[in-house]
This record gives sequence, structure tokens and C-alpha cells, in this order.
Amino acid sequence: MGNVSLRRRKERRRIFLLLLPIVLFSLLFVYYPFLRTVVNAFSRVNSKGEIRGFAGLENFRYTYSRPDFLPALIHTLTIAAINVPLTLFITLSLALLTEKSRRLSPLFESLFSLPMAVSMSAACMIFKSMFSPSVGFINYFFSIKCGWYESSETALISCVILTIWMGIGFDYLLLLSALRGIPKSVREATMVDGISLWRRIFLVEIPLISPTIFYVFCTNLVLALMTSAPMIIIMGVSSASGATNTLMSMMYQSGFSSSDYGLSAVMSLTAFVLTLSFTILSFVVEKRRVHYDA
Amino acid sequence: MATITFDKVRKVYPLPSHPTSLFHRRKEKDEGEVVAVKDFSMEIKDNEFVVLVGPSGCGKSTTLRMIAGLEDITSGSLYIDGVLVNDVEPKDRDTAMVFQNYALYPHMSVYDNMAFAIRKRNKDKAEVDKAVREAAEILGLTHFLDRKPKELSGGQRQRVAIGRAIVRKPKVMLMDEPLSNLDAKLRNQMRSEILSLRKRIDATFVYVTHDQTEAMTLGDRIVVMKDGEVQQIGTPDEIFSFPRNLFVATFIGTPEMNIMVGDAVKDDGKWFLLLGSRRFPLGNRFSSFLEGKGGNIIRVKVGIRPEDVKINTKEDTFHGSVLVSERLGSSISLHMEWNGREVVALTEEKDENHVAKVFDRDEKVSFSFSVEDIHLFDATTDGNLLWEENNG
Repeated sequence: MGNVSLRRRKERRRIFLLLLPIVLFSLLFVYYPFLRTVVNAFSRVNSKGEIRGFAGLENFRYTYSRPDFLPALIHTLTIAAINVPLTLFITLSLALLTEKSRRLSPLFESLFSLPMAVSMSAACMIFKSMFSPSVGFINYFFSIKCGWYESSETALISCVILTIWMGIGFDYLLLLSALRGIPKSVREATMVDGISLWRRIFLVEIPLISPTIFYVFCTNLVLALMTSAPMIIIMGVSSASGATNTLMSMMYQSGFSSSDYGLSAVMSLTAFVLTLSFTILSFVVEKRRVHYDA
Repeated sequence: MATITFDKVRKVYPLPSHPTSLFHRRKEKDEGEVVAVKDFSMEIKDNEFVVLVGPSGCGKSTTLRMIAGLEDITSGSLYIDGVLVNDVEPKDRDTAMVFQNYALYPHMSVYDNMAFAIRKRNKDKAEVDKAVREAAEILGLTHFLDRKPKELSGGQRQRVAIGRAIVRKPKVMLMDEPLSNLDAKLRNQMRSEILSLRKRIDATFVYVTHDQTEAMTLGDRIVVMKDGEVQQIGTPDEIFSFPRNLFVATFIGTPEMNIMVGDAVKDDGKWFLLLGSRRFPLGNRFSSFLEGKGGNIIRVKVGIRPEDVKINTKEDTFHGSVLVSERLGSSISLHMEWNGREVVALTEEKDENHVAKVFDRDEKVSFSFSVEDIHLFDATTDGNLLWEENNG
């Protein structure tokens, strides 16, 4: 008996030790910051980040009544509304086009997944120079005069182009491997049965890879709502023209540049609640549209 | 209802077919190909049930897939109902196919799986419904129409796959090892269901299997294949009792045919078979063929089916010792050692309790067979001596 309990205690200690790194990591870098954000949102925080008492909904009232809040929210939703379906459409089309393994497949697979291998800041700089109104390749090639990132009308859409481009590689690979995972005989059955290409794609292949599509959809949704980096890197934090302000970039500016921690926390929480509700909504849709029994 | 005609159909796969070949220089450009089917010629009659049988890699599935249009034909011609179909799309061939792994649409109900292919032609809804319910009735699937494939057993899934094929009322029904994923009992049951199905629907059946029992029980005619080449085409009876070569002889029939090496010797104008220390007179059946060979002594391979080997008979001929004796049910498969070779006999000898008698290991037994039951094969070409073409 004594032996057994000793062994069990040892076993427990071992489990605890093995779990310790990830528990510590999550406590320090995931749960503490999150909790702190929530606390900050309801507190008066000075510019050093010290809490100076309970503020109730003061921070929220302050944030939501700012003139730049609504544009930021609209920008965020716009980016998500364009980004998510368009990325899905492009990556799914590319995956369907390259679905069949041919001699040149490795070439196309590498080309289409290449954006994955480019660092975000490098991509931003490349796009900034490509889309430069004066010396950029895009304007020159298409013989157009567009301000792209430097004009307030087109800055947001230019950022969307960039975020889509950056997301394509990974999503493409996911969808391609899902399509290639469909049993060959299922596709052959549709061929022998004379199912047209469109019916095959929409009624057989897409339902069969719906779990992957759903995954891509959800991660893209979160990414789009939380996107800030391109705006910050390309536009520069200081040059806040407002045209590309999103909840996240406002959060970054208020938190890191202006040290307005209360505003920053409210922005984060708002983006979090937004993302959470969209994700819950997509899980509701998932129940009816996603087939896991493939 | 359709005839299928193969005229020297050939299928060659280039090697390597792996997509990474882009990065590998192909040195062995000319030798790097696999001939999957070699000059296949045959005429399949209207409403016939033809079984392609052979070990894996023999080209039987490739042949079937060429009929479906899922594989290109490298050379030769394939006709369905007299129409050259080499370049006809699979959907325009009016064939239906049942796959080994069922290939059902997992996200659709049984009903939708069966209705999917016929819905497209803007058919009347009631008509589609009637066709599906009819097929479900035939296959005993009526109660499962709302279920998803994952909620069905293997046998039921294969029935859905068959149902999906028959609702289309195809001219040609192709089946690619449809029973291989089922357990033995279910396989027997489905085999008889396929037989009765065949009588109810009007179609030419081409059925691929590696199981010679399926081939023997289902086929009007059997095509035995090996390494892409047709070994023999014939009715089950012909294939069994008149195998064209050693491969067909040993591939068809369980347990496998016994092969022993002996000599045919001409003595005083008559032919005898020398086997071990025994000498059998060979009847006229073989004489004329042996004459054609020239010479007075010819090495032959002697084939005798286990069911033709008699145990402990009065005129005991050969003496062996028991290696293994397996009970197959009413009969015993007795493996004996004779002259350094294994000889198998099927025996139904009963003991005092009227149960098939099991032999002990190393027990001495004697066995014999009638010379009427033997098959003689050329020792070098493995061809059956009774086939004219093997004596050219």
C-alpha cells in the first residue's frame, strides 16, 4: 500500500514538473496580460501604467465617445468583411486549380505558398515600394496615378491587399492538402457518374473539405480583426492620418505611444469581444454546414 | 446491354510518375516504363458476366478502369457497342462503377448518394424518387435511406455503392473488387446477392477480383491475367478442367494443384509417365502431342488436383509422411511429403465416429491418383501439353 501511494505521489510530481513550463508560460504571458487588460479597462491608470483607483465605465465612455473610435471600428469590420471571403475565394480557387498532381505541381505549389516564407516587415517594405505613387512598379506598369498607401482614400484597401497576400500561402497549403486528402475513388465516382465539374466542386469537394475551410475561415477572421502590423509599419505610428486606423492600431498607439493605458485596454477588450462573438457565430453555422464524417 | 470489344489494348505507365520527378533528371528514360496491360484482345458479349482475375499487379484493375475511361489507353482500340471509345469521356460511356472502398459521398444520406447522379439530368423528381426506392428495395436498403454512410456497416455501404450504380441503369456495370473489404461471411452473402442482382438488371458486367472463388462462382467467363498478360479466357469449367498453363492451373482451385516433375518416355511405341519409381501408361489423350515433340524422353510437369489424390486406397502407389492435416469442415486437407516435395490431398475419409479423420504428423500414408485426372505441362514453357498452340 505504502509503495503504491509513494509511486503515485512520484508520478504526480513528474506530471506537475512536465506541465510546469507551459503553465508558467501561459500564466505569465497569456492569462496575466489578459486579466491585467480587463482590470485596466475598469481602472484609472496613470501614464506609468500604475492603477490609481476604480474607474467604473469611465474608460469605456471616454473611448466610445472619441471621434476616431467609430471610424476605427468600421475600418476593422471592413477589413474583415473584405479580407475573409476574398482570401478564402482566392486560396480555394488556387487549391482547386492545382489539386491534381502534375509534373509541374511542385513549381506552382511553391509559388503559391511563397508568401508564407516572407517576413511581415519585409513584405510591408516590398509592398510600400511596389505601391509607391511616384516610383512604384504598380503605378508604372498599369500606367495609373494612384496614391495607394499614401492617399487616405486608398490606404485601407491597400492594407487589405497586403494582408490578403500575406495570408494566402498558408491557407493555400491547408486547402490543397485537404483537397488531396479526398479519396481518389470519390472523384472517380463522380467522373463515371457524369457529375459536372461545378456540381463536383460545390456538392462534393467543398463539403468534404468543409472542416478545413471552417478552420481557415475562423483563423482569418481572428487575424483580420486583430490586424495592426501592416498599418503600423507602412503608415508609421506617428503619421496617424486616421484612414487606416483599426481597433488594434489605435490600441497600439494609445498604449505604446501615448501611454493612455485605459483607452488601450478598452480597445483590446472591444476587439476581443468582437472576435469572440464572430467566432461563436461561426461555430453556430458550423453545426449545420461542416461535415466531419469524411 | 452492351458488347465490349478489346483490340490489342495496351497500357503503359511512364516511370517515375511521382511529381518530384521534376527535380530528378530522368536517366533511364527508355527503360523507365511499366507495361500494365499487354495487347489485351477480347470480345465481351451483351449481358455477359466477365470476371477478370489474377494476383495483384496483373493489370486487371487497369483493364477495368480503361473501360470506365479512368485510364488512358496507350495503344489499341476499345469499343463499347461497336463505338470506338478510346477518347470518349467517362461520363459519356454509360458505364457505372462500384469501387472497392465504396467511394460513397460521406456527407450525403443514402438516398442522396443514390439520387445524386440521376438528379442532374433535370429529371422529374418523382421519377428520381421512384428509381431510388426501387434500387433500395432490391438491395434491402429501404430502412436506411435517411442514414449517412458512416452509420452503416461495410456490407450496407457496399450495397449503397451498388445501388448508386444501378439507379443509373447503365449499359455496362464495372465492379472493382467490391467484396474485398468485407469479412468472409458477408462476402459469401453479397456474392449470391450480386448473382441475383445480375438476373434482375440488364447490363454487361465486368468484375475484377483476386479471389478465384468469386471468379468461379460469378463469371460466365473468366479472364485469368498475370503481369499484364491474358493467361486464359474461358468458362469456369474450361479454366478449371483445362488450364492453358501452369499458372492458371495453380491459380484456380483451392487447395492449389499439386505439381510434380516426371518424364514421358516412349517405350515400344507406347508413351509412359515415369514419376518417382512408378510407371503409368499414358493414354491416347497425350500420345499424339508427345509425338510432336520429337525424341523418346520428354521432361514434363505433372499436375494433379488435391481432390483427385486418393488416400490409403487398395492400389497404393506412393508413400509419404504427413506434414500437416487441416480440417476444412467436412473434408481434410492433408499435406504430405513425398520425394522432397509437398503433395496435398483433399480427403473425406471418416473415422469410427463418422467425422473426417485427422492424421498425425509424420504418420505414414500412401496415396494414388488416376492417370485420367492428371494435367501434363511442358517442363520448360509451362504450357499445357494438350493445348495445340503450346506444341507449335
